[in-house]
Amino acid sequence: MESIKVIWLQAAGCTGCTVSLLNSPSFKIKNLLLDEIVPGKIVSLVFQPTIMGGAGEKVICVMKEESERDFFLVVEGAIPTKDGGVYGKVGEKTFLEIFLELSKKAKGVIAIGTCSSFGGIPAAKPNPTGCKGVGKVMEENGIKKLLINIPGCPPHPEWFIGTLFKIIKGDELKLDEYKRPVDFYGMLIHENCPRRPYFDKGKFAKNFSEEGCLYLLGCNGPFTYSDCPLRQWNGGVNWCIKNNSPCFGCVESDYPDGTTPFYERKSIEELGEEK
Amino acid sequence: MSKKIVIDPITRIEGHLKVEVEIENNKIVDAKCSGMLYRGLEKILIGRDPRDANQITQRICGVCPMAHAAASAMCLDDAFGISGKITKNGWLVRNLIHVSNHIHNSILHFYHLSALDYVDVSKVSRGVSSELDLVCKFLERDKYYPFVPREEDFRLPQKINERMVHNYLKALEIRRNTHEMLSVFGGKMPHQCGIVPGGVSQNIDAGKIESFLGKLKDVKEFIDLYYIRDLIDVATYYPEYFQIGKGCENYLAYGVFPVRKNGKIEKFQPSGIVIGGEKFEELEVSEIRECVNHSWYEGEVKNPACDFPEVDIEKENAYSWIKSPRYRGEVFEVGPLARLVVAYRKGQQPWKGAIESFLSELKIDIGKLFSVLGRHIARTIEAKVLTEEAMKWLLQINPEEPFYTNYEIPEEGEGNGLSEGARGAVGHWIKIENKKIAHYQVISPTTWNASPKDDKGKPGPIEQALLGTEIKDENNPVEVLRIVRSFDPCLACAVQIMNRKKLKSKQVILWV
Repeated sequence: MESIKVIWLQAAGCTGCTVSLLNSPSFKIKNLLLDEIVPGKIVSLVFQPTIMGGAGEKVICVMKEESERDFFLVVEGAIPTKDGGVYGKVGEKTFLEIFLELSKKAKGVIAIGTCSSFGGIPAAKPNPTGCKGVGKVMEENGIKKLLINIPGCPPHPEWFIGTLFKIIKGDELKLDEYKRPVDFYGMLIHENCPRRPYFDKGKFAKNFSEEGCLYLLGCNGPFTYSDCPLRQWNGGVNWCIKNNSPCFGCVESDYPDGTTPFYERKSIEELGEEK
Repeated sequence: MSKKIVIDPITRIEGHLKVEVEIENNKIVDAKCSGMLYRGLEKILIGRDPRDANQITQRICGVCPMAHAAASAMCLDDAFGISGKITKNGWLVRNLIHVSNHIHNSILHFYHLSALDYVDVSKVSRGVSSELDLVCKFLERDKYYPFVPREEDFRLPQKINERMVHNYLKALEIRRNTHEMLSVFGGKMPHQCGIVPGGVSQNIDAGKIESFLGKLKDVKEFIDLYYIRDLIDVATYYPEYFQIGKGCENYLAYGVFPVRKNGKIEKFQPSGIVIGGEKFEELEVSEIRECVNHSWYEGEVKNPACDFPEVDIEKENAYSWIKSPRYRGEVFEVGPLARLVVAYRKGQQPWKGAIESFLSELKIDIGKLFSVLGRHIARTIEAKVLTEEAMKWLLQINPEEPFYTNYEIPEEGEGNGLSEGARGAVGHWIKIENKKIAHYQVISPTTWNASPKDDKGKPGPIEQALLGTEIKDENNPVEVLRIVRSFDPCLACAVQIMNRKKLKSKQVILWV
């Protein structure tokens, strides 16, 4: 049995990515924790603060021992860098110190969520704690490692598990310029949106009680790359636009500053252009 | 000789918490709770479109974003002058989205955040259920990550232990169901998009009501059949936890789930305070102050109406990013237990009846609820009563009536929204200038519960609950972990403050 070790570091985030992963509809969490992922291969979740049994020094020791070799590092949340990273600590060390130590030793790094991928919410103006995405921190510190970004606020559980599955299976993973797997982030929401006919006909909702395309209500669908319209959320029950809410563009590198005000129409000139 | 134990990180909670206790003759004589992450989210809100607060504040916490979705929507309704215009449907659907997350949190907290303190995953046998067979296969591994290392004090008999391991796994699915239920009306979860200022984003038809109802029934079945029984079994085999973790015995609740009845708004769970576990009083929000004597901010006692402390990383005697909210200078606990004690002492039904029936089944009096087990029981009672009430709200939705009220963002305005997250009282305050956010403040449940010592040196609720506790084995301080986890701390919520902008207004209460 081949064991793929995973260390899951939580930094400046909200635990929403963990909770979203727990919402995985078809690949059950019990199977992720307990069973083979593909025949002969298991995931050993060495460190995951929200669900792990132990606490304190014991788990910090485990993290230290198991990070000596052969592990993947998953990071949830951005890395605060201002004032030496003093704004976030675990086990008496800053997230920044821990991240640098772990990422140097890891086989690869997976940034889960937009905070970890690009800075996200805590890095929004004026970025009080100097939060950065892990890619940026690695680049600034000369750490060259395989990096995959799985952005989203939070990301869909299948984007993460699907990526993990491909890694474990040994498949080639195609990434876009933001290091997002094109399997999940390859198409604009606008291209697959069920409300596209409204857009084409010019039927726009002007407030929430109206039916129509949500473009005038601030929808980021024409500028946002994800498969939400096809995959849908929470076991296919619903997703933002189906719920009559504009897309907030939460998988994009400039979220939230570039995709807000959320409920104001975005510039039409940008339509059809690469963001 | 005293000995210090430091637990950092406290796991199976939301966020980054460090707890330090000092032990003399096996008893805790000093306790320090430290919030270890600061993001400054309120500062990020300044200058933005007010409506964005409804989305951005949800990102304070991905476990309880509903607390902030509800409070920020009420805060914006107030600032936009439309609080009285939210329709009956608007409130019902908001409540159903909100209540789904309360139910979610009860199940998540009991099984996935707490159960591993009481249940031994490694003691199961084959042939009981497919779930347990899967666990047995897992136990063939060299290392049982992420279930080890762990503290050990397991007492459940084999059969009950096996049932609870089975239910730990089953609850992973039921918890997921509560989020699927939520997203029928809320769009997606975590970070829903259904609750908006003015009501909810979509009109609800019979198909959606049916979809929500079907999922709710599955969840209700699990609560009635398993959750209540599992809780009672834990209480039976760990009875001393009715004495452990008592805390300050002062309780505070803002109340939650407003329902429009005969043109008036009533809260299904009431607001109020209870002093010393007994005396009910109505809540006066203006009595709240914050101390920063032991927090990394400049200054000491802050009058929230006019003072704005800056970050001071070097501050002597400071040990947390969390500040210390106090009501009339006294320490108050918030959360499910606080909500229940407030409703019980106020005499509000159906809560009083539900609490009495649990007390008589367990053959205990109300005083026993002021404990580790009491906090778990409070979550279970809430899950049961709220699933029943949710059915009623669902059937009151009238798809022919409006769900949303339109509004204009005012040039200037201010407002507040007081609600309850699963973890307790949550308040949002806004001031709008030139149609933009000039000021935004959030005070979250864990800010109350995990607060450090105040100006008079009085420890916060979790710290008080730890004091005096006997630690049987210093190398295995399971008592500390069980006490802290019974509060269900959410650290991301507890720390997001800081604001430099001064306000002229007298009415807006600022928690800085």
